Amino acid sequence: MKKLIIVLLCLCLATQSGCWDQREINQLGFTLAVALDPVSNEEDNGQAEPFKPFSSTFQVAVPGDLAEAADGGGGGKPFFNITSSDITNLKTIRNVAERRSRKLFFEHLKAIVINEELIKEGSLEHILDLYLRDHEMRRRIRVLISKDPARDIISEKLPLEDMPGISLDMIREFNSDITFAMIEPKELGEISSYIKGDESFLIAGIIKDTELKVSGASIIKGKENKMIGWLNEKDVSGYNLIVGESQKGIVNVPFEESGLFVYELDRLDSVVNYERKNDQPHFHITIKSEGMFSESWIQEPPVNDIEGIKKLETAAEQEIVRQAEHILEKMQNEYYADVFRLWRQVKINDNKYWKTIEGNWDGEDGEFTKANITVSAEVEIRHYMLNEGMES
Amino acid sequence: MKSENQQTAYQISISEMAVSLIAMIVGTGVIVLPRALAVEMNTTDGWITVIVSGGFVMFFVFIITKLQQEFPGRNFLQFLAEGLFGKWISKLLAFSFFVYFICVVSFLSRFLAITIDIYLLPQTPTEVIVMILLLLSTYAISKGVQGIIHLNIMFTPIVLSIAFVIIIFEIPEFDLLNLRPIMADGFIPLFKGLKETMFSFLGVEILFFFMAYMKKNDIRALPLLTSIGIISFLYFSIIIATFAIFGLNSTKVITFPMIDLVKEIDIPGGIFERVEPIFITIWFMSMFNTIAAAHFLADTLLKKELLPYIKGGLLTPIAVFIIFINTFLTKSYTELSLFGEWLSNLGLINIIVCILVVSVTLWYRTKRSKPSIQEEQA
Amino acid sequence: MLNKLFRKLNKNNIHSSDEFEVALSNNLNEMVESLLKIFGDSNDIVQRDFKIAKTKSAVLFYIEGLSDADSIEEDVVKPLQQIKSEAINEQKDEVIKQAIQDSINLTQIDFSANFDDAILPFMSGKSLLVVDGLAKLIILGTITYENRGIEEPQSEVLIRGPRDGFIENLPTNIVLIRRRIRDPNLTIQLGKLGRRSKNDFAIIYIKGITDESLVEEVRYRISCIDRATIEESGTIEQLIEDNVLSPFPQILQTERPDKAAASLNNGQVIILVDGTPFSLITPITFEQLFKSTEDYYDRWQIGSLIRMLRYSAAFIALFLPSLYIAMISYHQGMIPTTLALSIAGAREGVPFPAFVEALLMELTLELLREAGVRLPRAVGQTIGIVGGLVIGDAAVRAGIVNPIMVIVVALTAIASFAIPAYNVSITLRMLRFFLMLLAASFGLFGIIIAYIAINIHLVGLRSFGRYYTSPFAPYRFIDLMDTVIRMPLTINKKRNDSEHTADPVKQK
Repeated sequence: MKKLIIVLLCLCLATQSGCWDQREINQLGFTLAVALDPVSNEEDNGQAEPFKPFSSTFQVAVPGDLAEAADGGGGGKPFFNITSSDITNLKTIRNVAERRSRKLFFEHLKAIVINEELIKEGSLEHILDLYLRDHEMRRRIRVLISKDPARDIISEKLPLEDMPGISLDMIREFNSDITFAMIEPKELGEISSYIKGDESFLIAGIIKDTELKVSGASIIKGKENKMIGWLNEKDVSGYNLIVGESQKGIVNVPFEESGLFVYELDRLDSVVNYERKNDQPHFHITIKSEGMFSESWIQEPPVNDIEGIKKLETAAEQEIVRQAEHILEKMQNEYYADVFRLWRQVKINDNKYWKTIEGNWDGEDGEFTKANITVSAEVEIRHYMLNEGMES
Repeated sequence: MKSENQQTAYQISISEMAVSLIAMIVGTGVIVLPRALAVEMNTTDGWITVIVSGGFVMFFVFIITKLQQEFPGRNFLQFLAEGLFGKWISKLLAFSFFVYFICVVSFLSRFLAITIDIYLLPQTPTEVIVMILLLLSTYAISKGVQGIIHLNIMFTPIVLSIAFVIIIFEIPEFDLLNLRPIMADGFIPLFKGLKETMFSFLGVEILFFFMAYMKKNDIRALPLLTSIGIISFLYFSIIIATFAIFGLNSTKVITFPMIDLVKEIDIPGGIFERVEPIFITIWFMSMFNTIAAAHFLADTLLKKELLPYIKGGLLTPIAVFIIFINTFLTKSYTELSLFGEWLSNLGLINIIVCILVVSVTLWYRTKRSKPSIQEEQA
Repeated sequence: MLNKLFRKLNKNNIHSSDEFEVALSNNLNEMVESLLKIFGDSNDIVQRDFKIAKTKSAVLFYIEGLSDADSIEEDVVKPLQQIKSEAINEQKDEVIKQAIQDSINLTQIDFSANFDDAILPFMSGKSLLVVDGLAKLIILGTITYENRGIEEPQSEVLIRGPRDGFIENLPTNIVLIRRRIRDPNLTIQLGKLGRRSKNDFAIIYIKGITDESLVEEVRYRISCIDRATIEESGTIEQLIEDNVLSPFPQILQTERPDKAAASLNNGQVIILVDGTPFSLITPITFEQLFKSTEDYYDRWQIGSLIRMLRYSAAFIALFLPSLYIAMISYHQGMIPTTLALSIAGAREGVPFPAFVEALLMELTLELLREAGVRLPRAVGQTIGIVGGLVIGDAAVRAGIVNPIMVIVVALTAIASFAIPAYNVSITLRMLRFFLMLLAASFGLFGIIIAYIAINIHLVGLRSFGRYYTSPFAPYRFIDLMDTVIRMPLTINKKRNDSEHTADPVKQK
């Protein structure tokens, strides 16, 4: 019992002098998005040459305005952007701290937008290192690459949302599944795994035409972790079909001479078979899908007999194979980067061989370029919505 | 008073012992094991190693139980001390275990303090955190065996269920292709990882001491083996989850894979944006169980075996002070890991030496008593 | 420390005789004289002189109000006056006694040979008859009570269940229990407590179910009490509990006879004290604080759900404000982004840290509650409205607290009312402030520290030697079926704490 009293007293002592970490929620600068851009004028930079400064733009929420905006009033934007530049991320953050009353708070960071110039020159690994290392950061931060200055992207506000940072996150959440035109924006944690595994991969791009749009993707080459090219929407759609990522995308299928119909996928699954013939890796990718005949631009859609459906299916299969082969061709012969993670099949099925070629998969004369890849598709049209026309 | 008589006569039931065993073993292993295995083995086959070493530990536990059945009501030190020569061995072993337990408490406190420093309270001085922790564990050991065991029983179900819930939440993120190919490099990596996994099962040594508080016919191996099985399964799922989500290369560089796993969790409904503070606090309970049990054993060893002639309440504060100083001898996380490895070696040696010494003594004593009986009959 | 406490109590227990050092005599005047001396200057003692069979003088004493004056006149005085028998004038004691006994129309007639045995019954309402020539005090059972009727208990209201509650009168209360358990094994041991107050109390248990050593322990602890007055059963509770410093109640109180009867059936001991409707149930475990008899009257699904609700209510009452503090001041990353932003916006003008804010509101709440209890019922409601609506709203408008804080405080208040045992909710309220303090210093780490400390305290706690945390620790698998979840009665056939009862099976 005496011990209890002593313990309590000591606890009281400890608590009375405590509160080292206390910081109230209303004293924080909630940073919701970060944009990284290169600095154009390098004259006023006294640093050593290998390290170029870059600028970071932090989007900080203004909670008071946010509350007002919710009440219906609201004059100004509920956020402000603040830009600073230095050669390391942390220094930049500290630079901001010197200029603002509130400490930047990153635990609610939603998205990082990087300008493509920055990762064409420098390594993605180093640019993101702080965001991967620091315990304040979440692993679920979305990373996007932009062609335009990244700070312009995060100052754009979608009509219904208050904060650009949150809206960037929401585009991902609700839409990436229903279109093939964008790949799912990668999370910081995933990117870290790719970087650590020396893999090539894609990061979703974001562009600003008249409005914000997640579109295309930038190709990051393994090991160097630099961007080597940019894929447009059509390329991305082939990629999505091969890796089977977006389950419910749509494909515009040309039919016979002048016809066109929309094949809306319901399920998508791709199977990769690997074997080694003549010392050359052979991959066969089977893209299996189920879906429906959703929109018709054909005069008399042959939906009423099995033969007709077969025709439609074949047309869709051909289109899918075409798209897939297009991107495969591009990756093999233009960029020499295996963003489809086909190497995993080699590793699993032929580990000894993989050990010998492990360091030489991607690249101009890498094994991936020499690989023989074939694609086939299986399409099953389950139904054709309305207009069944049973009699005719 | 009658109630106090009941208190001193407290006997651990076998189910309580089994739960305490889980509480004692689950500690730092949960947090760091996948990384250690990834670094040591360089393959994703760690889960096989865990199962194998789980089997080994079960064997150890089985032997310890069998030995304990020979001298119920006493711990092995008291048993050894009955012989002439054994007295000195007993003192030596007691000292070795005392050092070991003191170091375990220091190591765990330091480890905990570092984790809390990183994830919960970056500005708060580590000394304050360790001080509070040690005060709390001192309070816990003042409740005696019964208090320690009952604390284990109160916390372990919570910790276990939270750990499994986390893993279940992770299942949608699994990419099982990361785990293949299985055993691509043959058996050699498995042996490399064996030492690491055995370390993560340290804690079984409490059986030597706590089983002395059990009734003779309660000392059974099966429930204890079940709890080793549960722990193996926990480790197994954590390793699978870590590798399936992060892949091998990423796991190698993540300091605390389990905490990063928790960072991945997206709670359905979004009540919490991030759950790792909650996970760390829950895990703290499990760490506290281990710390309190080790602290209690160090304290008991000091009072009952090493310095039984010193009366008064001075020994406990002195032990706490030693632990406190010892905690701050290691300077960085890297040094702490080295210390941890040294400590694990010590623990493993202690266990093996104990099993050997006790079995030899038992064999010797039965051999000596048997001929004498035969002579009498003759 | 506890030992010391008990040793102090143990010093002297039973008050032996020799208090009134006056001998009896067969002279009526002397007897009356000595009695008047003992009674002192009290005016409410009535002295009734009369003659038995018109010849032998006698004096009857009773206390106004405590004794039934009508019954005395009808059943004692009148019959005695009208005795026809000549035997009354004989000198033999036996004959006189017999004659008196024959004529009085009462069930309780005792003859006492000394003052000590007679004074105590007299003080509790029996009347004393002194007859000339008889060196005995005749004690007549003429006790009457001013009882309040049996009403529904105020502190424990049930929707389904009996409507009767204990009252301030011990025999009535015993009757209420006896009516429920018509078993000859139901043992009721009466005694008196308090050096001056001489309160009646009863230790009640069922022989064959309750552990004999437990009854022995209860008897022993009560015998250790040496106190001038026992004001209420709470006095006994505090004097016999195991750990005086613990914030947790180690003895349960109830106003409900059905709850008391159910406890008896579980092998517990009931202590009833005259003068209070609150009976004591002992020993108890932690989980019993969350049980209500109604759980058993409703079907098991309802009972189980309500139990779960209560446990979560206890969790909320204990942790919510401290979690709020920890999240607002330490772990802002845990709050969902949009909510975090709106809290930050709402707190924009609040000058205090979350701890001060929470403390302020919690203290206001406690004040309101206390004021509401003490005031007359009609005014009490006004206080609630004023406090809840006006102060809360004004505080938010003035920017002292933010609206989420008001929600937190209101939730905490409601949750603490959802726990059946009133004293437990007070315990939780006390611990809440302790937790808030730690949360304000260390965030979640502080909360878990406090939680562990509470757990350490609980596993060290005993109620009459029983582990307080049973059946969670030590595990009692069978008893676990009647804790957070109440299994159907058909499954749950054992008594609570079955290891300690002599007859563990409740239902076959």
